[in-house]
Amino acid sequence: MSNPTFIISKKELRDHLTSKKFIIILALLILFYLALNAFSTTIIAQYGFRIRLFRQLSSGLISNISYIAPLLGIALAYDALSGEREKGSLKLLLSRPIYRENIVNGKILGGFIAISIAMIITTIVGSVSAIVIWGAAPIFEDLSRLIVFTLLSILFTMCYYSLSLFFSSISNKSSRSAIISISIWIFFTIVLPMVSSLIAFSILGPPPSLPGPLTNATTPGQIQISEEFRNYARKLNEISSRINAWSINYHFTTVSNRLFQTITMGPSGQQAREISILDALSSSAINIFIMIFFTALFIILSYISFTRKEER
Amino acid sequence: MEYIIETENLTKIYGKGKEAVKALDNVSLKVPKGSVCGLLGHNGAGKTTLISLLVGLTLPTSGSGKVLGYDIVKESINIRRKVGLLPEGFGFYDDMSALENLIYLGQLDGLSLKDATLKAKEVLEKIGLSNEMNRKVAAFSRGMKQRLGIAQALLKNPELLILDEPTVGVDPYGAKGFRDLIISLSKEGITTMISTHLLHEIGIICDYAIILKRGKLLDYGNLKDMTQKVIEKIGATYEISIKGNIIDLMEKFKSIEGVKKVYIEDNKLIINVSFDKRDRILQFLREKEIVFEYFNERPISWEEIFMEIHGGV
Repeated sequence: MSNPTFIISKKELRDHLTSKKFIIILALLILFYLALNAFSTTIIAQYGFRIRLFRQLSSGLISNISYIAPLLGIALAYDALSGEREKGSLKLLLSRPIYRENIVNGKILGGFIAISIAMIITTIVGSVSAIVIWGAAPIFEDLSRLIVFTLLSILFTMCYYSLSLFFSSISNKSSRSAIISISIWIFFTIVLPMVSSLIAFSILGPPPSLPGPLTNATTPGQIQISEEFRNYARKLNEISSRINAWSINYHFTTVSNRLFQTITMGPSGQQAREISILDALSSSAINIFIMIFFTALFIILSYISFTRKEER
Repeated sequence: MEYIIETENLTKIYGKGKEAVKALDNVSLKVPKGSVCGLLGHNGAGKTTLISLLVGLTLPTSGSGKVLGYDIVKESINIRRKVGLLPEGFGFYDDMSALENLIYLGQLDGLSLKDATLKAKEVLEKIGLSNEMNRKVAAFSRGMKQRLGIAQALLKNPELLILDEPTVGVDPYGAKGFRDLIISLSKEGITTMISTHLLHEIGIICDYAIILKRGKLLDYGNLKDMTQKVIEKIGATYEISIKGNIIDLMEKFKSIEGVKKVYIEDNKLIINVSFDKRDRILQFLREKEIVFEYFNERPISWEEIFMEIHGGV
């Protein structure tokens, strides 16, 4: 006798992997990478940066995942339970000798595996294309960081998956669940960063003085930034960060940026401080904890609402 | 007598405060093993709520119940292991074939993949859909989907089959096929509860009935006993075809003790007489040596029985 959770998750996974929405979003993630790699090639050719695979991938990876991965989480979960309700298949599932928890567990497991597959494929394609386009050889450190980043991406996508699953559990219509989830994604991804900057500006007022050109500059175009302006910029960043901390995207980008802080070799030979993976993760423990807490919270809420909802 | 369903003051209230709706109100009933039980009532009578409570899809507000000896609150998973349910408004996975749908549901019933496949093919054969088993359910007609609904309920070899409005939206030919299927299943010894508001179906397939009205239980029991009770209450009706002056006879019949109503319909004399005085009609015919071509006790229809017990909407 098989475990009902695994039976449901197997069907769920098969449905996800063959669904148009999954294929479209996966294609978007991959295309974004390929376009970014092609674009980076031009910059590399122009400025002659030394190529370090992980470093070159970083900005593209973070923005790609932070913008598109939530859509994958939402797409896989918005109709997970409400869709069964709409089709009437939930009544058939509930008439089986299984617990309602089995249904939620099966959905989550199937969704988690599908998300993991998408993230792994995206990272592999992104890295392989970078190697092919730039001819960069990855080092062990790069691969380790890519693995950690993939795990973080899965966790981040699961945040939106669990959020969307919760709305699916309380809604009778999938369209309603989708609209609410996408609205939250827009708020976290676009609205909150803009609002946070506006609030920070309105609190601090206009900047003290515009930075002027450095009189004793060694490099043409180098500008001098006053201490007052630095303080202003620091406070601005602090305030907007505090507001953005309400967004799950902020925590993902924060921990990812720390993970990506590694040796940078520029044309001037400047060398940045390298942060080990462990240091990067431990300094972002609170961000990781918040992402885990966010996911767990909405999964628990989904359990509660689904198991207590009267299915008439 | 062994009872497969027993409830005691079963009550279900949906919602809270001003929005609270009493869907089921102190329902106490028993359904014997091996019967085909009709669950009757208008829309909103509480039929679907009663079914949901019996299989543990929803919890009672108060009261208790047992199905197959299992408590409907504490042991509902055991009930669902042995009860095949065709819920109202159910749906299959349209992108999967009939066979794939049944294998999936069979596995959730606890069968291995191999056993679920064998059982799915067996029930598809039984309900006459074996030729369509590899077709996507999206291409199925309403009647075929209903039959597939029965098939999924049979996957677990149920001791009790509960069918909620199984013939709604099915064409008359399909509905007849459906009734025949239920009759054949009952012959196999499967106790069946069928919720419907199509009263003519009851007389054909059921031998037991439960009548609900706005959440309250009006009556339940053996169909013959219920019919007898109603006849005793409303009286027996006779049809007599007589040669001669039918108008004169009509007045004479009216004078017999116990006769409630006499009228002419299609050249036949229709006499409604109280149940205990029914013998007086034949006695009168004999005494007066009235020659008749045709004498028959008009059978009471289930519509009449239901209306008598249920009253208006």
